[in-house]
Amino acid sequence: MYTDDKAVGATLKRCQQLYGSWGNAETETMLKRLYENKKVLYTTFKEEHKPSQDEGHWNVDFIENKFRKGEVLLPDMPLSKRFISLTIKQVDEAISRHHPALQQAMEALVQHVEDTLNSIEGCVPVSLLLSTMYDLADLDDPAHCGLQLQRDFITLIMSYVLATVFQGSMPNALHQLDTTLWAEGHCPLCGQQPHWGMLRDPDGAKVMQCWLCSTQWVFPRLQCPSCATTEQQDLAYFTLEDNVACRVDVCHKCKAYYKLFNMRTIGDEQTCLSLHHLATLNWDYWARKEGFKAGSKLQWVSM
Amino acid sequence: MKLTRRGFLKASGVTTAAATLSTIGLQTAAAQRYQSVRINYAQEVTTICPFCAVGCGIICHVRDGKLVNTEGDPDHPINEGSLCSKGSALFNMANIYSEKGEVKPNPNRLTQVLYRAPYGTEWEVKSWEWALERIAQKIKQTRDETFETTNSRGVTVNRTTAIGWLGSAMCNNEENYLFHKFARATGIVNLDHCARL
Repeated sequence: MYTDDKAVGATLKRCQQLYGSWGNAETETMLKRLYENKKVLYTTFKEEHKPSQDEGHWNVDFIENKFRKGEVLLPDMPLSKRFISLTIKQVDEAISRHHPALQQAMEALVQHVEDTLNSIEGCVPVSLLLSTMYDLADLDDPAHCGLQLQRDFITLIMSYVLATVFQGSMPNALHQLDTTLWAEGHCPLCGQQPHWGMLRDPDGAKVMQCWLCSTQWVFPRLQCPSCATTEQQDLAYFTLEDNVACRVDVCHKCKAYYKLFNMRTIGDEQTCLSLHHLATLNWDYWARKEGFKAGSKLQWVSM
Repeated sequence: MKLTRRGFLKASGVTTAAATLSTIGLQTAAAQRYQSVRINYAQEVTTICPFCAVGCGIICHVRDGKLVNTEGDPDHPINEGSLCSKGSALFNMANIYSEKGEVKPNPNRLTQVLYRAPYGTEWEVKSWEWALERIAQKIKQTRDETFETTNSRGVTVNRTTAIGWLGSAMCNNEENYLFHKFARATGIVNLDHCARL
């Protein structure tokens, strides 16, 4: 559900070894604070939140039946407004502490999210927050609109909040989901398209991971998770320089890209892939520059 | 009420400096050192290991028409990503390593027909047309000279022991079946396969 403190520290160091140093000294501290604070949030939330369905609802037969039909388990889970509010305030505190110049912009963003939440009765469906994020990040011409928060920054804040709240709200039974029977490219739990995955150690299986709920599922190496093509001439990948820890898989048919982390190089099963993703945002830049778009629809590059 | 970027900017009246991920130290295109970088494209192509009849799946990584890496295919039902020592070394069929560790084409990989005449010391390059014709002639000639209808005890054998025949793991089952049929029909009894599997 959350990456423990030891794994966060180890991952930050490993990313530095593999991809180069983080942008500045504050970055690593800020990320560590963000990830470690998740544990506090989850504990607080679990004390208050009652799941909408009993844990017993999620039995093996029910899940297998769903997967055989290609049906997602939680297509539009309702999220607690209080949890969303707590989380975005925690992000505000972490970023503002390390980057005071952004305090005003962060406060404005927090206030507007709060105002939006207050206008909705009851819980907020995750689809509403997702479309909010896509709208905020999807501007044709950031300069024309007098943009003060670039789309990549918006994506970081909103995806972190969404992922934290979603994972903290999931039924316990779904945190160690057996996805063997799942054959689709999107996430079996929440339906999102992945942004990254891994090449598993030692067999090299392609295991996609959901950016929203962290669910993992095996998907064929030579198949695009976005359009499902298996034509080998449509599929390719690129690496930057001689770095073999991260590669970008692309599809010439649908023009989607996603990142794969090679666990046979990274060598740590407990590593946190979302941190590897943040350490390799340059790969996203080059994917966009090469004419591909994120299959996940997440706008990690302001261009 | 959906929160839109325009609505947010209008309502908030934010006038601070633009915030990007590079502002908070997460490297993006803004970083100068990423203005030029070497991008290495490659494709993955599936194949079957040629060394035995188990037929393990292999993924070949190809860049600019050249093989740059091989690994077991994790999606293949037979081997699920694993390879034996021979399959793992498939890359070396095409490439070997210099003393400095640089990859170079394997000089022992045959790319043309070579013929050494009886009692000769040198290999000559020959065409496939010449070679196949020569092989056919020699099989016929050898069989005619050595075929025995009965053995020394008078048992009917209809065989030639002067020719040996090898099947091939590089060929499929149907081709090996035809090889076997042909060999037996011509009376060849010294019959084996390069992999025995």
